[in-house]
Order: sequence, then C-alpha cells, then structure tokens
Amino acid sequence: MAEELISHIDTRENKPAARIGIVVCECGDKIAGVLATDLLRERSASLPGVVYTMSEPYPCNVDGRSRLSQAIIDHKLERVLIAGCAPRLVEHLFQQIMEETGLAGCYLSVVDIREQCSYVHASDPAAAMEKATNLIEMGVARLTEIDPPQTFSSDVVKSAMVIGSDLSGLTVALALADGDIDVSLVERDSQLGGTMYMLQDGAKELITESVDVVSKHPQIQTMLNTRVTDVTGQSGNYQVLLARDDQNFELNVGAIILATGVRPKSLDPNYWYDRSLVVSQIQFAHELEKTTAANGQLALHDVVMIFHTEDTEGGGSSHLSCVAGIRQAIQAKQLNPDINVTILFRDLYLGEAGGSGENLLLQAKDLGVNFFRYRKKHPPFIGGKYIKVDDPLTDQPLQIPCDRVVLTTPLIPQDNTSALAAMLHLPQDKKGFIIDRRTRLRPGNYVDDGIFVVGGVHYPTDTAEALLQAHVTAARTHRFLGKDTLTTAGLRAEIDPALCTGCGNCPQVCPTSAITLEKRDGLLSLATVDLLRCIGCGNCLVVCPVKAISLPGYGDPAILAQISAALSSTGMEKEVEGIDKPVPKIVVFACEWGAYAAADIAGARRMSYPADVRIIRMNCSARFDPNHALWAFLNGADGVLVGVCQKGECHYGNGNLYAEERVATLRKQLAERGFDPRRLRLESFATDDGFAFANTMKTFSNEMRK
Amino acid sequence: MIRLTIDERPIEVPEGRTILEACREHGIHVPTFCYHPALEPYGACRLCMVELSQPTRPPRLVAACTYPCEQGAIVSTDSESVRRSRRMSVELLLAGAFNDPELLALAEELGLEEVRFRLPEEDACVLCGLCVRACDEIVGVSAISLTNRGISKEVSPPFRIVSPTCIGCGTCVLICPTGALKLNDVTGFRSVHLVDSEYDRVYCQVCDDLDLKPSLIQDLEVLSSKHTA
Repeated sequence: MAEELISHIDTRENKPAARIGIVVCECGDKIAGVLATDLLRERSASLPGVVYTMSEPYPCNVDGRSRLSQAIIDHKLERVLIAGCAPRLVEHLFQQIMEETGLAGCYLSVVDIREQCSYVHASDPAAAMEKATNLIEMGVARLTEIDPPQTFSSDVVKSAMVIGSDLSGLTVALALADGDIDVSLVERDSQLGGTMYMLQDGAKELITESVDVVSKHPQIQTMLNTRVTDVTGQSGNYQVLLARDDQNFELNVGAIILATGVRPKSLDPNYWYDRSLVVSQIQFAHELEKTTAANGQLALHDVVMIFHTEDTEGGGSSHLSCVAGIRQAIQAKQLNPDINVTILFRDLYLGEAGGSGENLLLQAKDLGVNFFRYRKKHPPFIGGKYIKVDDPLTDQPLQIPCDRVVLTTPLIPQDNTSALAAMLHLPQDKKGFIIDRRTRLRPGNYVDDGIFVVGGVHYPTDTAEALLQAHVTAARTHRFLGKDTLTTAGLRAEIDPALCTGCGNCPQVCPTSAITLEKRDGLLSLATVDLLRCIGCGNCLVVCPVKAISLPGYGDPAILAQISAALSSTGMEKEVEGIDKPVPKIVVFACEWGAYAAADIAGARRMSYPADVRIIRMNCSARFDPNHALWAFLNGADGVLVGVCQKGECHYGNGNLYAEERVATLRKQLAERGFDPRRLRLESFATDDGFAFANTMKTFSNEMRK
Repeated sequence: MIRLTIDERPIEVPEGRTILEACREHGIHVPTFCYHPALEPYGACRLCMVELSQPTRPPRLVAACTYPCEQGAIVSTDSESVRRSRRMSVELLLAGAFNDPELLALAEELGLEEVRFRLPEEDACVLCGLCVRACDEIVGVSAISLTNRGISKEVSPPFRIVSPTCIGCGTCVLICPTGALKLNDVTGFRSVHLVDSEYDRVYCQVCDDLDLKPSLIQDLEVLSSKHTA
C-alpha cells in the first residue's frame, strides 16, 4: 500500500505547483526574541512553490491582516502559510481574510512556531530554529499536497415542508405560501388543525379560517394521512420520504419546519376512576362550546377541575392547560352562575405571551370559583359523588361534591417527536421537547440551517406564542430560502465512485451512520456519504482498501508529505554534545482535541520537551492509519506516538478506541517481524494536560535513546 | 487618515484604529496582558495605559487597547505617570499571578522592587476576561462568563452549572495567561458526552483482517528486512 501511495503522490497531476505565500510572525518579541525570523523567512523563501514571504511583528493586527490580503491579491497567492502561534486561536482570523480575498479557507496552514518552538525551546535557540524551519517545511509540504476544497454548494430548493398542522403549522404554511414559496403541509391525521386548539384562546376561529384558505391556496399542497419516514440530503436540499397508506413517495424541499405540537399525556392505567364522570379538558371544552352555541344551560351542579401533575419526567403542568382551565371555569360560571366550580391544583402556571393569566385568575375568583391546592402525598381521590382531598392550609380532609370532573393531564410532545428528532438530528430534553441550542442568543434557530421548529414541539404554546413563533419562523425560513445557492463549510468525507468497490468497510466504522451502500449496475455496490450526517472524522479513509475516500486537508498525500518533510530535515541528523547517539526523531500524530490541545498548553505554560518531536495535527485519532506509522518508520523515524483523547472524550464518538485497536494490531505485527514494538506508542491526553504531554515526550525520547 | 503624535513621532493611521494598533504598527512597544488581536479589546488589565494630551484638555491616562486614535492627539507611552500607573497595575497583577514570566520581566523593567500584595492561591485568576471572550468569539459558544461583582467576581459557567454548549475544546485554558483556569472549572466533570454505544471490533470485508489491508504485510516485510539489514 505504501508503494501505491508513493506512486499516487508521484503521478498526482504534473500541474504547476500552487503559489504559496508565507508570513513569519514575530509576535512582538515572543517569537523574534528566540528565533531569527529574518533567517526563517530567507530559508522558507527557497522552499518549492513559495513565491512570497514576509515577516510581520503582528500579522494578526488590523494593519498586518490588510497587508496579508493585499499580498494575496498582488502576488496571486493560492495557499497561505502563517508561521505563528497556536492555530486554534488565530486560524479563523486568517481564514476570514482569505475568504474575503476569494481564497478557500482550507488553503490556510498555521504552523505553530511559538507554542512549539520559541516557548518550549527558549533555552536552546539553535534547536528551536531548526525545528521552526522544519515545521515550516512540513507546513509547505502539506499545502502542496492538500486536496482541493470541497464545496457542497447546492442550489436551494425554493420549497418548504411543514410537518404538523396545528395553529403554528398552518400559520407558517400560509405565511410562506403568501411569500411565493411552495409549501407541502404534511399531516398524519385525516384532517388539518390538530386537537389542541380547543385549549388556545380564540384559536378555533383562526384555524377554521386558515384551513379554509390553506385548502384553496394554489401554493400549498396538503398531504393528509401522511407520515415522514426518512430525511436525507443537506441544508437547502432535503429528500424526504413520505408514506401514505402503503404508498411511498419522495419530496424534494429546501427547508423543513417541524410543527408537530403537543398532546395531553394519557393517564397511567394504575389510576382508577369512574370514566362516565370524568372528562378531559378538551372534551369539556367541546361540551362548553356546544352549550354556548345552543344558548343552552349547562345542566351541571358541581364541576371539579383537577390540574394533574405527575412526579415523572414531563409530568409537570403547563401554563397552557392552567390558563385554559381557568378560562373554562369562567365560561362555565358565565353560562350558569349557579354551578359550583372548584379547581384543584398542585402548581398553577399563569405566564402567557404578552401578559399573564393573572387577570383571569382574579376574574375567576370574583365569579366564585374555588381554588384548593393539594399535596403531592395526598392526591385527590375521585369517588362516585365526591372528591376527597386534604386541604393543606387547614390540614382537614375535604369532601367536594361533583357531577363532572375535568381532568387536565400534563402536555407532552407527540409520540412521533422522537422519531422525527432522530431523523432531523435535533436534540431533545428529558421531557422529549426539542431544545433550542442557544436559547438566549438566537431563539428559533436549530442545529442545521434549513430546519426550523415551531409551536408546541418546543413547549406548550398558547395562541399568541404560537402565532408569534410561526411568523418569526416564516420570516427566517423566507430569508433562508431567499439564497440561490448554499455553500456548506466544514470537513466532510467524499467517496470517489470510480474507485469505490462497495466492499462495505466504511459503513461499519462510521460513527454517525452517514455512509450507506447503494446498489448500482453490475456486481459492485457503491458507498455514498450523507453530507448531512458526516462529521468528518476520517475513520472511513483508514478502512477503505482502495483509498477511494478523501477528506480535504487530511488526505493521505498531505499527511505523508508532512511525515516525509518532518524526517528529511538535516536538523534532525545533528548529534547532541556529550551523547554519542543521535537525538531520536519522534513523530506524533496528535488528535486536535486531545494531544494537540495538550501540546498547545504545554507550550503556553513553557514546559520544555525534546526539540526533535514533530507534531502532525490530525482532526481525530480515527484518521490515524497504520500506514502513516509505517511511512514514518520507513523514512527513519525512531519513534511514533499516537496521541488520542481520553476514553469517553472523543469528539467524534469512538475515534480513540479505533486508534488504540489499530496501534495494538500494528504493534503485534511489528513484533512478529522482529521490529521493536516499543517504538510505536499510543497515549491519551486530557485536553488541558500540558504537563502530561511534555512528560510523555521526555520519557519516550529517553526510552528511544537507550 | 488621522494624524497624531506618539512619543514625539508624527504618525498617520487610517480611521478607526486604536492607539495600541497604531503603536504596534509603528513598532512602539506597549505592554499588554488582556489584549489578544483575535478578540475584541476589553481594557481589563490597564497595562497598556498611555498618556493622552489633546489641545483642549489636560493630559490624562487612557487604555491604548480601547481608545481610538484622534486627530491631533499627542500620546506618550513612556511618561512618568504612565510608568507609575503601570507599576501599580503590574504589582496588582503579580499579587495573583506571581509566576508569570512576562509580568516579572515587565516589573523589572519598570523598577518594581517589591510586591506588597499577595493572594493566597498561586496562579490566581486576574479576571482579564480572555477565556470568556475566546469562548464567545473564537469558539462561538459562550459556555463561560464572568459572574458576580466586586471581590466575588469569577469565571464560571452560568449559575455554576455545567454548560451544555461547552464543546470541551480547551481554548479557554490555552489562552489563560496565568494558568488559573482548568478545564475542570468549566466542564465540572470530564466527559464531553457519554459514549452510549459499546465499541465493536470491526473486520475488513475484503480480507477478514482487522482494519489491515493485505498489502500492509509487504510493507512490514520491507520494513523488517531494512531493519535487520
């Protein structure tokens, strides 16, 4: 495989080398105080492909940045290398400049000559200088071999799908359709409107009106009795699989709006009560409505409402049901002032958008509605004609006569919420409601651009809230769909269909199940990556037997070129005085989140370690390929260390465990062939453990020296 | 363009530059501690104080990192009052971070002989706000903030509850100049997220070998022959 890779590098396009520009940062005297930056600049100018070099006291300063962008334009630079400080601090600044000048951000390489050289090797400027030179060589090698950027710019499909048709769903659909966007309204029920509108003040009229308009609207396609079974694709271009009866069909939409709403929780079957006596809040609402419409009298004497609270997740009461309950009490009293209305509650929530239910509470009290709190230990007991409950104020048992009990159960998300959340990759809270990632900053914005959540599926919403959210979401969706194309950034794996043999290795290791095998003509099947799900860990690249997968910036050519550059330096051949053996050359494959971060901290805290350590930054240790270690050994490395995250801390799932398995296997194979397996090592580092990093490097280097 | 004089040098800068940016651009050294070019200036450490004289106003001290360059301003970065102010600031910073090499060097340069104050803990947080700004502006999650007021001001996640937005990247720890911040202060517990699935061994579909390709054996052969030769 190594030979294959070499030939791959050799045959890699004989196109003209990319024009590389190098900025050597002096960082005041933090770098220039130890390293001769002018010499570094001179040395780097002679590297292949380098057409422009400059050294700056502070390239990250406003003026330094503007000089860089001017240089990119003047010298037609295609790649930029910054030799400065820790990439994670400044990378985004320079990427921004590059993107402003029309260069893809992934063509930037930040080489850390501060935390990895001037800070840690301050006592040995000569070694620091050699290392800095070498690090720049490695950076240039990487930039030369870097894959072209993948831009998943896709056209935004100018249509939206609304799942669920409660008040907020209908309102969003109408608002979007009025803005000239095709809307598919998917409802799993046989009619639009849902059921919860009975609890929202004035929602019934709004819904009746909306349903009428929606059904006639030329831009709204209503799909009743339809369920969403799968969502694939990416922002702005989703393929949605729908099922109606036994029929499957596909829909292509640009944005998805989740508006599935809430439902009352069904009571635990352990609760026993006379079901002819007890009705739900919604049933009672219908009853009241019917009586009002018929101008009739409510033929009841004693109505008791229980705001039921369960001590389970999602068992809490909500302001929607409390306020609706009080409103019903008032209505009942107005219909027949002689009715005794009693409300039993544990918690009373009165918050409402644009005010509170406080006024309703006062009005209800004025009309003579009785309110009793009950205790968790003594829930109301529903008998045949009486409800027994303990009054916590007097500590006396009460017997409340009743001929109608209205039971309000907690409101929870619809039962299909979890399935939809999984399909759309939305986080849920313990109750099952969809959580806003950053509530305080950008309400209504969810993980993926193009997916919006509205109404009850976040939390039970009353009329005003539902309408407000619906209009905000419609405006956001409109703005999103207003773009013609969408460019998704971020690392994503890409499979070359011409090379893929469909062996089925990659789907097995993908932590997010982003890869699926598809049938294609002939014998072989084809693996495809779902860009929506891919998190860019690089695990699939390692297991691909034909190397058909690429990951920009972390492709094999780029990594192998860095290894070669790291080990080709003349600086590493030098002998340390007093020791007759040369200083061991160690290559570290460092996971961005664990070992690389620890190395940064070691640098920032100025903990010195041997200067002949070369760190290769990997996105995740899952990207570590046994070939990389072999390549390093073949090029003369004395030791290879794979630095991973601690167990359970991998940002990509189980990348560290995969690396561990691969290192263990390779060690075994090396030992079988008489190669000292101690030269290959795996270490896990906590993100902030610089001390451990420096120490490990020291001990490893000492071991190698023996 | 704005014309001003810094340390008796006539300087011309585009509009909108702060005094610190102008100084750095023209090679005039101004010490900083809470400043980072990738972040919005914050003016917490007061080390970058410079003396500003305007024709109509008496001279005064301003923080160079936040104060914009003004037409006709006369700035002195090394006057006696500036040095006195800096000496005090360094002394106060050293009270918490008495091991910081940069602060110690600066103290020596300013002729500070004795630090009269000392906080009980070593590498104390000096509330420079770098970690909070980095979390917001570089990482973009705002998992930590400066909470409370006065002497109880501290860096912590909101309400001292582990922030669900924290991605455990460690940028805050990296940027902390005194080493006061530990990742544990932010995440509370170590795990970034729970590993809910057991790790399954995966076998290659082509060769039934664990992740290793058949050609790898040849490489190993080459390697071992080279090694033994």
